[in-house]
Amino acid sequence: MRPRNALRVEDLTVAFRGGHAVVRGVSFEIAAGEAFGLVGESGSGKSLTCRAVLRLLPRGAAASGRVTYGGRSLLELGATEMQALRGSTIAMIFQDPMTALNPVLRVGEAIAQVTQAHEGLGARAARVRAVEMMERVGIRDAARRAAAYPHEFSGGMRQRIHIAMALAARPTLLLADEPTTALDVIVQAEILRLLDDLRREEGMSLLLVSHDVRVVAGLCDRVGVMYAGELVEVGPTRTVLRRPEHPYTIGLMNSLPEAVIDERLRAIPGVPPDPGRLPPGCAFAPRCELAIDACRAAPIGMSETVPGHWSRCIRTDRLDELRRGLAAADSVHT
Amino acid sequence: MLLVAEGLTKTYAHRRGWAPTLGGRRVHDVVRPALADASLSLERGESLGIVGESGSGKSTFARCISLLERPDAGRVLLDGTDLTALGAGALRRSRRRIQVVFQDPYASLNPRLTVGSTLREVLLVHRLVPREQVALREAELLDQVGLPARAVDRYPSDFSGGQRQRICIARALAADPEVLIADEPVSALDVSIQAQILNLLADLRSQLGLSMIFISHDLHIVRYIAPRIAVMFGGRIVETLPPGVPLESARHPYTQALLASRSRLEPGWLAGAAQLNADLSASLPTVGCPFRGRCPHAFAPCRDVDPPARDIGQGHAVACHFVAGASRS
Amino acid sequence: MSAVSTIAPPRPARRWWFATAGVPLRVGLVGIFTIAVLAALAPVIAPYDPTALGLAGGLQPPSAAHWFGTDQLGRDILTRVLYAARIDLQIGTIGVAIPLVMGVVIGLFAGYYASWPDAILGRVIDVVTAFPFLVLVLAIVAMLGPGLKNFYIAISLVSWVAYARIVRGEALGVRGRGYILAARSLGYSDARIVFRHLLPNVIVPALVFGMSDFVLDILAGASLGYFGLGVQPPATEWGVMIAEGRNFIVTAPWVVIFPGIAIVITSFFVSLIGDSVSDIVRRVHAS
Repeated sequence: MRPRNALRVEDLTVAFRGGHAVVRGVSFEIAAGEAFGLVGESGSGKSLTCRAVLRLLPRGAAASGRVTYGGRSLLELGATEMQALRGSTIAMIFQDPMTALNPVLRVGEAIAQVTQAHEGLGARAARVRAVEMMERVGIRDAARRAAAYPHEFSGGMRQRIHIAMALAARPTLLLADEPTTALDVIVQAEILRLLDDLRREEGMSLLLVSHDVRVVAGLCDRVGVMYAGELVEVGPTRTVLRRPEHPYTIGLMNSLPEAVIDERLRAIPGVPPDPGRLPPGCAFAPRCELAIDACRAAPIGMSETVPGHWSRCIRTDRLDELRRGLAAADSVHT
Repeated sequence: MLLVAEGLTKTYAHRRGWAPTLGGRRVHDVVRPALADASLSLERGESLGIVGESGSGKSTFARCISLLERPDAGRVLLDGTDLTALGAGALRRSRRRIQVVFQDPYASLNPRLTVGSTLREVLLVHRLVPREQVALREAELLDQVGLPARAVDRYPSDFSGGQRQRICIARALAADPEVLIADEPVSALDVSIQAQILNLLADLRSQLGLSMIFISHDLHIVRYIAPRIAVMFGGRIVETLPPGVPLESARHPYTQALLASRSRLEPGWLAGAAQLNADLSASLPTVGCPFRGRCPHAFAPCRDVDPPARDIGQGHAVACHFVAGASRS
Repeated sequence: MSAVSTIAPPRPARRWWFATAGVPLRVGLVGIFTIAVLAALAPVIAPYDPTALGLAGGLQPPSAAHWFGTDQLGRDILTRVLYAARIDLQIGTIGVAIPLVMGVVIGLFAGYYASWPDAILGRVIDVVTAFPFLVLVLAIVAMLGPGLKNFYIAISLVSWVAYARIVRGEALGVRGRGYILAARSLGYSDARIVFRHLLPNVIVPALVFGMSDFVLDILAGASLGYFGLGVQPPATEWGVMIAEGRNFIVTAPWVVIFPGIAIVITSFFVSLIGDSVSDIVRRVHAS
């Protein structure tokens, strides 16, 4: 088995040429074998953060900061080295499996190409491995179905094939960008379970990006919440969910229907800010009940409220008022 | 009873072109109907929720109820009038009585019309207010959905997804409908915006006394908005949960699977969630219960007979042979 | 509800689009406008009568008295170019307007209803486009007889197909969009949906095509004029002038050069407009 490594992201910033930073100084770590969830709404920068690790940014976007994996600084690697890394050491899966699946390639062939490219397997050995992978991701009658084309499979199946392709070369880090967002409820649970099982079996680290904190809650050890390009809270899943330390996180959870019983949903008023028009202080301040002048004056840094749990909020002492609603809902559902 | 849909059925056939093809017409095997014998009833002022995943027929149901598509069989009665029997002109005029809010707010607004023009058109075509009062009514509608009056001169591209959905809701309200069908109205929106729109719909319902059908794949959202829930699978309504019956008391194996698989705020819920363990890629059977390929309780009758909906107490109806057998014994 | 606070500032009113349009567009518009004004004022500003036969003899090179020289019958070329402009601009405009309206309406309904109306239109389009444009126009004019009226008839019968095809393609795409479905659900009549909701969203490619068609029509008129099937004397247009002067290309080139330049310049300005509009449309679609 390949050596297990830690992913370290330090002060990552992604900006479009001539534009504003859409990812601003994001820092987090994923230990070897750990599952880390990155949660945020559209525009929070979570997808770009994920892509920046593999340097798969859209045209015109540039990343700065430091991203290290296993001691190697990824942002500084040459193009060929980066290419060798992608798919073999670090793999990525996307929301739409058709991003990876070539519609004119039989799926078995598509998976086989990964191992041929990265592990130098011969055609026959690669095909055997491809069928193995298909079985591992739960496709029945894999040998026969390896000859089928992507359009002959349903959405959930295609996502499984996509995962098979990503894992064919046995990467040690898997980046998953909204892998289940387009899937039905039951299929979503199956795919998440698949990811979880495979992760444990391979000892792989996982970065799971989602707009739904509940998805991340299912299988991630630690979670980071992003808002307006920044991480506003990071910590173990259990504590972030049970005792969130940032008003946005609380707001997010409060706006879910399961958080209320026979009352109004507590929606967060307002809308997320335009990256070009960020307020000088805390980006969430305009929508926050607890905001004071100090919040609006200057950018807020991350502070460790509880060991291992970080928050970008200076009003954590007043969060109990907001958390009240959560505690009430929680007690009913346990 | 304000709205009654009886036995709606719709099949999308794979149609060959009208000109004969080189290989000749192929005798195509039986295609499963997208909607099979679906019925519902809605009282004035009531809210009904429909839950289903993709392919369940929920959108087809919505389109057939609103007559955006003609059902192959069945009727739709709105306050006694059989909409399915109306001619084209009369149907067009009746359309404003059932309004739909669609899933994609970005595609549902004509990009070339200002918000004001969009609303005005509804008011004028249906002659709902005298010309002098149109501007006033526009402002009223915008206010009702939480948008400022100056939105009137803007184009949809000036607005975010959540705001566009509000405009769509305003447009639906402009027609002064008796029934509002919301087809996945928040699925395309961010979580924090979803809550705003859901609150808006709930408020409008209580302020205007609207009768609403709310469709979603999210059980929790539907339960929040609608006390009575119909669960759909394979083109059929497989379970109906009346108000007061908690989701956890669902009896149909599919509803139970949905409940078990839904993501929740509980850390590590995935480990504890039940497993369906079926080949979900197989297409649904055309005879018998559509769920039998994935059902842990499937037995002999499931293969041959499509289970009818049976009331198991206080309006809780389940279409399942296994449940019917269990409640009998 | 503070959801409202972030509506974007109002976009500039439609009046100002000209000021913000790019240079090519402005050049094109000013150019065409100038030509149109000159053409309209021809009776006022032309130095001579277009049909006045020269007493001084024909084929005189450009001079102070005759800026563009005279043709073989002693007529002042500048005057004739100006008068011809009126015909050519008319050819371009009417030759586009009629087929555009015909083609757009047919294409709209075929695209909106799809199924058999569209299938029929599709076959008609296939048949008409199988023939080269000019050959078909020539054939029709040859059957009907020369003259401007028959030329318009021929152009209309042939050109509408191109517009129909463009609009029908766009309409097939747009008819499935959410706002069309919404319009249906609001009980709007088909006519209203087609003209108020479908048309504005599909018309632009047809208009852009119209620009290049304008040029094509002028050239077609010129080609027909070359064969004597176009405009009949005493009226004239640039193509006819070139045709009449073809025997003197070497000995008195000014007879054909100036009408030729007129065609080129007009086409150039129209192309500028067409290119700019399609560019703007492309950029708007991309955003």
